[in-house]
Order: sequence, then C-alpha cells, then structure tokens
Amino acid sequence: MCLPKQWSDVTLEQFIEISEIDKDQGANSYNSEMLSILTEMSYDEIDELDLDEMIEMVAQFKWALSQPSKQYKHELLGMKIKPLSKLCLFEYIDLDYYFNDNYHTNLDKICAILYRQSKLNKWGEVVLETYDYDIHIRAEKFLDLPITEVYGIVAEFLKFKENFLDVYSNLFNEAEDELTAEDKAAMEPDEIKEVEAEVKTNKWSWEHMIYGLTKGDITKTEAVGALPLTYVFNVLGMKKELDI
Amino acid sequence: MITILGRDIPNHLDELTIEQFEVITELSNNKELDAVDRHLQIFGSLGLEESLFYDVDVADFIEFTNQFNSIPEIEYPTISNIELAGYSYSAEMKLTVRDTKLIEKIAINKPKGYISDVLAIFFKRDDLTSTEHYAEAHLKLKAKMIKDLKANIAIPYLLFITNKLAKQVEDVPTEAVE
Repeated sequence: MCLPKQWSDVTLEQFIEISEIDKDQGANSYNSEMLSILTEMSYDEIDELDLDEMIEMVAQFKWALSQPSKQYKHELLGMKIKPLSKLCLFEYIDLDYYFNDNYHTNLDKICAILYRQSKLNKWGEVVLETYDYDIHIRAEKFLDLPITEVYGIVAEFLKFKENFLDVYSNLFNEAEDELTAEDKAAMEPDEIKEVEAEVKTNKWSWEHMIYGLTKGDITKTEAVGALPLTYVFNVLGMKKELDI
Repeated sequence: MITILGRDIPNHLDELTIEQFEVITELSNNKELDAVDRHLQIFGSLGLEESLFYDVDVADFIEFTNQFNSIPEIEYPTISNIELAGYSYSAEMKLTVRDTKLIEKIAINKPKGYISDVLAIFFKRDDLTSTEHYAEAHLKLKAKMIKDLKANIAIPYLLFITNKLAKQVEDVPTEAVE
C-alpha cells in the first residue's frame, strides 16, 4: 500500500475530504475516516482492523498534525493567480462567502476564483479573463493537484481581508447576532425592533450595498459587480464622508 | 453485603448488578451533589429510601458510608462466556476499529448508563454474523439484558478499554486539519 508521507503527497480533493470529517464523533472515528481517505482503503476494511493495527498506521501520519506549507504557485494548469489588489467586487463577495463558510472545504472554489486564464493583448500586456465562468466546473480542475500548491492562498487572502477591513473599517458595522428568546425577554420592544432591523440589514449586507450603488436599478448590478473592489469602497467612503 | 438499618444492601462488585453499578457510578461522578446527598441517593437507588435516615445520627450515617465504601481490592477474573435468554455469548479482549468507534459514540452521546452498552459490543452471540451483531436493535436489547448481570463482569473489559485509549493518546495524532 502506498501511504502519503507528507502534505505534498495529498491532493486538494483528499484535503477537502479530511476537512469535512465530523470531529465531534471521536478520535477513532476521525482517524479511521482519515485513513480511508489517505490510503483509499474502504471504510469496511478499516472497521475490521484491530485497533492496534489502526493506531500503528495512523502513527505514520504525524506530519498531518501540522498545517500544509503556506506556499502557493502563482501559475497552475496554465492559469495565473489574480493579484488580490485587483479583485473586482463580485470576486471579493464570493471569496468572502466561501471563506466565511469554510475555507478548507471550499478551497477548490476559492482556487477557481483566483486562478484565471490569461492572454496577451495587442500591446503585449497580460490580460486576465473576466469573472463570468462557472466556478464549480473550474473548481474540479484543481482537485487532483497537491494541496501544497494552493494552500498558501488561504493565508494570503486572510491577510488581505484583514488589511482591507482595517482600511475601510468605517464602512463595516459589527454584525449583530440573531436575538434569542432570552435576549428578547431582557429588552424593550423598541430595542428589539432596532436590533432585528440591523440583523436583517446584515443578512442582506452585500445585496443592500449593491442596491444602493445601482440606486435600485438591478439591471446595473453586473456592471457594479465587475468594478474594482478598491474603487467601489473608495466611492462608498467618499459618499459617507461627504454625506451624499 | 453490608447491613444498614436492618437491611442487606450490596456493595461488592460481584453483588451489585451492572444497572446498580451504572447508577452508583453516575451519582459518584455528579459534582453537584455533596457527600451526604450523594450517599443518600446511592442508598436510595439500592432500596433504602431517604426517609429511613431522617432520625439517624450523623456519626452513624458516616459509619454507614464508610462501610459501604470499604471494598476490598480484588482482581476480578475475565469472564468471556455468558448466557442470556438461552443464547451463548462470547467476548475477547480485543477491539476492532468498528468496536472502538461504537464505544466512542456511546461515550459521547450517552454519558449515563453506558457500561451495559459497552459490554454489549464486546459480547457477541455465537450464532450470529458480524452484521447481525452490530445491528442497533440487537445491541440495544443485549445491553438491556446485560444490566441484570453482576458488575464484576464489566471490570476487566472497562480496564482493557481504558488502557487501550490511554496508550492511544500517547501514541498517535487524533486530529489532523484545523
């Protein structure tokens, strides 16, 4: 049996499957599933193993206790990575969604957003494709790559997002949690209304922002979504400062 | 057996049923109970209702609890064959991955009365296949019947699991990706 010896022997697909294991079911349940993913033994075969045999096998995966290397390739599958500073609004919104949901299990889709086809224009400059392809189909292309070729983009985007939120902190509100029955019992009716309205706004925050930018004309949504992220937020900052 | 207020109550593991042992274990681990309450409830579970102790002197009550808790350290032999409802069951000091996963599941989801469930995994009915052995309904029924057996049967198996899991914690990683 060919067992992986390091993260570079693990594909993105295997990494996602490992990330999807329910950790609340106990250590042995976790280890047996991980073993099945990494060795391609069936669940039944692993279930029949003596516990000591499994312990011995799992001991060979101590390297998996640490995270994969934070490096990533700037070019993969003939595609180039889009610089984060050049993201458009829709790209950022989708990345934000996938990161908030789970950046390990969504890593294939994150790659699909960031790695782009490119060509040279008539002036010999590199031009990246626009964001109008199906990311789910694109995501499949990355599944067989070693995890070490793409894992670093997680840290890169998190760093970018932190910096971005810091720069435009005046444009982001602290997200309110939904009120529980206990919270409501301890609050005045007006206060409840106010918080509930804020929760609703937060739930629809991106849509609400785009609706505002298009002045309610949803036919302009695509055009706004294709604008550079920093430009959109600079305009929002200006609007707020000038109160216009 | 010890005699408290004229009644015999079991306190040795070969006198207590597994069901009684499960209740005592649960009460003993309940940190919300003080020592007096804990023992009142333990005695209650063994048939000595609380009201019997209303007029008992504190010193006498302490003496009862000391008697109850003074259990000799005995190494109970491993019993690997039992008979339940006319069927023979055998157990081995061996855990497969599937057994361990089931035991883990019990420990996570059923913090009370788990000893009979764990024994139900160890003891396999001789005439059944592996698939039938692990059927949920079968395990549940067997655990119910095992509750009536004496608690000393459980001790070697519980020690075996504890030692296995302790060794595992020393030896292997349990979680990979965070």
